[in-house]
Amino acid sequence: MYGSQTAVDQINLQIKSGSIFGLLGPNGAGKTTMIKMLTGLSKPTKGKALVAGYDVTTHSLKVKENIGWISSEVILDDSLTIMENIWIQSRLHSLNNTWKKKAIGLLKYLELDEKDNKKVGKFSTGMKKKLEIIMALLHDPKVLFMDEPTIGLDANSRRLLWRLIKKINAQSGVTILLTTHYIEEADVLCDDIAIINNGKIVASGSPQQLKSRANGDIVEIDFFSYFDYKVLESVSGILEIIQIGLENSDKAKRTTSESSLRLRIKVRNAETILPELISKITEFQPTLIKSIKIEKPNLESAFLELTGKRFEEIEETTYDQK
Amino acid sequence: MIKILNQLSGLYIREIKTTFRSPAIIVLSIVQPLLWIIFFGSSFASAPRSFLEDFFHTDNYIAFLLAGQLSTSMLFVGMFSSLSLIQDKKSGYLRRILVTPTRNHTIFLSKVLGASTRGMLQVPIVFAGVMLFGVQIPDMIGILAFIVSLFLLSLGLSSIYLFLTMKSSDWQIPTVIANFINLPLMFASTALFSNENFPTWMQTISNLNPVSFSSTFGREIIISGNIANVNWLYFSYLLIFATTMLLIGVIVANKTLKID
Repeated sequence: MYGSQTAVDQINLQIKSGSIFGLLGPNGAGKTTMIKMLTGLSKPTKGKALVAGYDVTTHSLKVKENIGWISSEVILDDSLTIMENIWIQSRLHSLNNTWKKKAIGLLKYLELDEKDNKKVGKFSTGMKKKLEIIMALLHDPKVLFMDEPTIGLDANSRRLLWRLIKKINAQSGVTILLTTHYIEEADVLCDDIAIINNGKIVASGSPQQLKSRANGDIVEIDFFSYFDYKVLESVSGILEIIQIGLENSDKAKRTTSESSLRLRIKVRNAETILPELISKITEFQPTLIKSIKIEKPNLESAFLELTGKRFEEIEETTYDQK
Repeated sequence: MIKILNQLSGLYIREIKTTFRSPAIIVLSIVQPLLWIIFFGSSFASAPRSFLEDFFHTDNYIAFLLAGQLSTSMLFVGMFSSLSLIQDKKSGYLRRILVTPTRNHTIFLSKVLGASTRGMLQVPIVFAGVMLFGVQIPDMIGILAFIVSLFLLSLGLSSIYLFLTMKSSDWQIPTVIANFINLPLMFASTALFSNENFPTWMQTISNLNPVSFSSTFGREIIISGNIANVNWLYFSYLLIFATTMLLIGVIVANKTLKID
């Protein structure tokens, strides 16, 4: 519960030891709430969760001994040096004197070894993220939680971090649970994914399994003005036509008063159907099409198939409600 | 136990390092009480000696004020502990701590100890400053006993501030509380004047006020120059006050400290 709202509801998940598991969903889907519950920061009102073999409600300290955590935003003490930040982390986990050897090894591994006595306040976000990773791995956790690890990073830094996460997982065997709303990130990094929306898991499986749930291709067409798109239903190979911005329940209210129109057309094969589709539209009015976008089966189309909406459409709705 | 001490030492040293790396905090912590003593203490500089001896039991008001002023400073030190916790909440650092096996009360104790240590910074500087105004400095044991009493007062007051603001993330709350409790606690105490001429109700408050315990205890040491004739009852009260407030703080922290 988040206030009076149910943030996470009836979730049933099992994560393989040593794997990278992604929790994929739009902003406000309940990902961070789930991480908070699994890391012992908040208590579920009902249900049971085991992390590294310990119950998060009754043995939260044991859970915390066995987990590492990397936040979505950078959280470090900017007034301290790299080594001082790491030292505090070692104290919080009550590590013996070997912490320094481990820290030096990790600093070298992540190419921060020449900067260990500099204050972190002046570092780039990418470097700070690396330091957070070192701090999260210092005590050899069994499970590493990464809450939106690449948010705020540029494309290059993001790819670098992806490689690093893969490498850490392969070399240390730590189980990684990451949350993301970047579909590409989940696709590239994760062995298994759970798609979360409105606090519920709508699907889970490997990226390949999830992609196969996207039944066919998607063609999205923007039109300059409204027209009676029912005529397109006669084109063979079309599976479904949805007017974007019009909820299912409102279909009856379809109106010609709309100044522009956007259709999401689910088809068996976009390449074979497109010529006939375009000719049908231009037959109706030659200058009606504003833009066309074709989408092959991917995680986003799987999400669309499962929820009827794209990430950004859900995020826009959530933002409007706020 | 070792685990708790490791965690406490890590968080406490962080508090201290953060303080020492902020020159503004150091300068203000030292200059502010010194200015108080110089300006407020000099207000009776030309008063007749008989008046000073009758009213303050010394011929130097600065010597009378010294213990009271340092005790009053601890009221403001308490506010720092709250501000430090709010800073950690705002920056997310509290969350970083809470995902490690650190108990809430360890965080609370590190803040209280950090703020109290910061409060002690000013003591040697202020003592050195008042020597210029003819105040005789007590012997080492006397100074030490006074510093311990100030530390106990600071532990208690910081605990009060922290448990009153434990749930808050609003910068304004500690300031509002400071405005609300600091002035009454300062004036209804023996920090600035003896309470002999207070009305009965104010005398009652003054007699229960921990700022009075520390002021009177320190004053006895400063005026006599040693601990030979001090009333240890005041010290005992301070010990009880600090222990009680720390215990309440530990309970409140374990129950209510959490991230937003």
